[in-house]
Amino acid sequence: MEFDQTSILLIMFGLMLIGILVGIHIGFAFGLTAFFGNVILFGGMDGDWEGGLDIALSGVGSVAYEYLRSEVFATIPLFMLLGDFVNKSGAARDLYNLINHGLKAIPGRLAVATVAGNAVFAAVTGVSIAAAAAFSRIAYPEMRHHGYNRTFALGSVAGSACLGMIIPPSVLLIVWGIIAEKSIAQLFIAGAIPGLILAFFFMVYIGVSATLKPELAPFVKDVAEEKPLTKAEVASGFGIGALILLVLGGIWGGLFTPTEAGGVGAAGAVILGLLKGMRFRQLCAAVVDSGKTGAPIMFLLLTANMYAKFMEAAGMSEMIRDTFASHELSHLMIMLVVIGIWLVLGMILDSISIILITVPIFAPITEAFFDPIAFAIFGILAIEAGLLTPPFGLLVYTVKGSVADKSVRLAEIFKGSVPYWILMLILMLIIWAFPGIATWLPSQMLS
Amino acid sequence: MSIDAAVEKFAAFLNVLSAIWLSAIATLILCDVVGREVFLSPIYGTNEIVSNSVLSILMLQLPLSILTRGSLRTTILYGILKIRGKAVIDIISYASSGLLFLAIAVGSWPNMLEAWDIGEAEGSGIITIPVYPIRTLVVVVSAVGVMIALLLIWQSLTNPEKYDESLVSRDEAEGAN
Repeated sequence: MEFDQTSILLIMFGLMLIGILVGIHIGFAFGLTAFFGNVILFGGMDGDWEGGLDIALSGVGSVAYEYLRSEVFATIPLFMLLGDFVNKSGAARDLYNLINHGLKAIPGRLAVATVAGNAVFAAVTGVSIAAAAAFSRIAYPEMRHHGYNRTFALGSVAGSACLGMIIPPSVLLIVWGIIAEKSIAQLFIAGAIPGLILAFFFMVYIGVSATLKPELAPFVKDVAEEKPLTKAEVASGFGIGALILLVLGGIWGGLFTPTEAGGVGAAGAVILGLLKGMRFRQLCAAVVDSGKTGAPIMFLLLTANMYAKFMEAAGMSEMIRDTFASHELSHLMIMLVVIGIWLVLGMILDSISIILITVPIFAPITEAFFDPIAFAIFGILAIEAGLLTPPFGLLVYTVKGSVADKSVRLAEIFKGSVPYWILMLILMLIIWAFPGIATWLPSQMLS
Repeated sequence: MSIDAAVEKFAAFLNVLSAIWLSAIATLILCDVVGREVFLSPIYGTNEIVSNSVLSILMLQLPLSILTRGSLRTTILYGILKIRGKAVIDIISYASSGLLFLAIAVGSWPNMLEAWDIGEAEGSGIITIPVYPIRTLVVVVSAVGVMIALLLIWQSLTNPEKYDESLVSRDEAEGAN
């Protein structure tokens, strides 16, 4: 049987997507697609199946050994470790109380504090889900206690958790940097301004809604002054501030690389944990747990590289270039296709898998007219927006799983998240129109 | 002790090793940075040690993460299936993982033998790191991966209710987003 390269590529890609949608674990789908794809590519085209099998075997073998042996990959387990220490130390609750105390009389204060707390929390840890879980338990009961509308309160928790992925350090920025071969330090700087703008948008939305419709978020008088701040709250606040200064300040100031920041930050987080009263056993548990969450991500990166190598061997770049050239798509059309695919995939797949599947294809297509650093921030916003949309919306499920109030329905959380989703899309469009929002700071700091 | 329990114990042991290794790496990096920035004397070879540790740490973490059914997947279709349907998908998925690990083990075997033969090491003058243990670890963990795949298939065949993966805590997927 005769095969041509393009049909092998398309058939394998299609089979892989079907497999993933059906529920095959994504890492296995990547790896096996690469393996059989190579067997067919190198064996099927000239009928030398044995030769194809040999090439495919040595292909997966060499990626398994070679790919992860680089310092940059250590950022992922180290930042996961840092995040686990901070989460398990219980510093998020102190942080929320501290910010709440400082905000005084502004409309929708408890929801604004949720956004601000998430923004600060995001500057220490690299994942959104942990923040969604923490603030569902901390901020949601507080808002409900003071008569906040349920949908409004739920939306603020789920929506503001998205800040975790755009405000550095962020696991998504690390993965993007690795896949698109961009500097992680540069991406870590680039995410800062868009992240702060997004947090500002969220706060303005909350403030305006609470002013126009006070029934959504009744004005809470003196709630923060009811209880004086405890020593632990102040200590956590300083501790988290010091960690941010250490990790982001260290990278931005050129003192150390992102990998080193992960190591130093993890050590700093241990000190924070000890100050917060964590015992040795709890610290050990945090290290073991970070392995359980980190390993699937690293494995995904490994198998995605097997898949990427196969796609490259099968001539993916040429095929995509030819397709776009033959259809003479305008830049606008290309971007609309890209956004559409991301939003749809965002509904059904986790963010890292989406980056692994699409970025190697999209980054080269858009490079000619969209600054790659701004494109990364743009892309992460698009992909993160999918975490708030049905049916998969992982952040929404996390909030549902974490709030103590079991009468909360998924639909309420989805509904409450819609304004945050829209604000993320607006910021995306702004970055598209003014990529300088993402690129200005890195150009200033790294020049 | 049942096979399930024995394999889980072994995987948990490997995971603890990886946790110790990761903590050691974080400590090493801390000492290197402090040494370099404060005392102007970095720890030479830190970069090489860190680079060569990442793969080993992952390999030690992998068995437990697969065994506890923590691998990432989308549940868009899986979530609405009945127990039997879920078990079928799990069996297909773990059969794929078994095949993949078998391919990795077989594909890595010749290079591992050669590495032992020549005592393969990496480094540039200041520090040399023997890499044949890392190559061996890849082969061993892949072989363990094949066994775990068979065990998971067996579990889904014999007791699909107990091993319904939609009941696995969502926290397992925490890192992915």
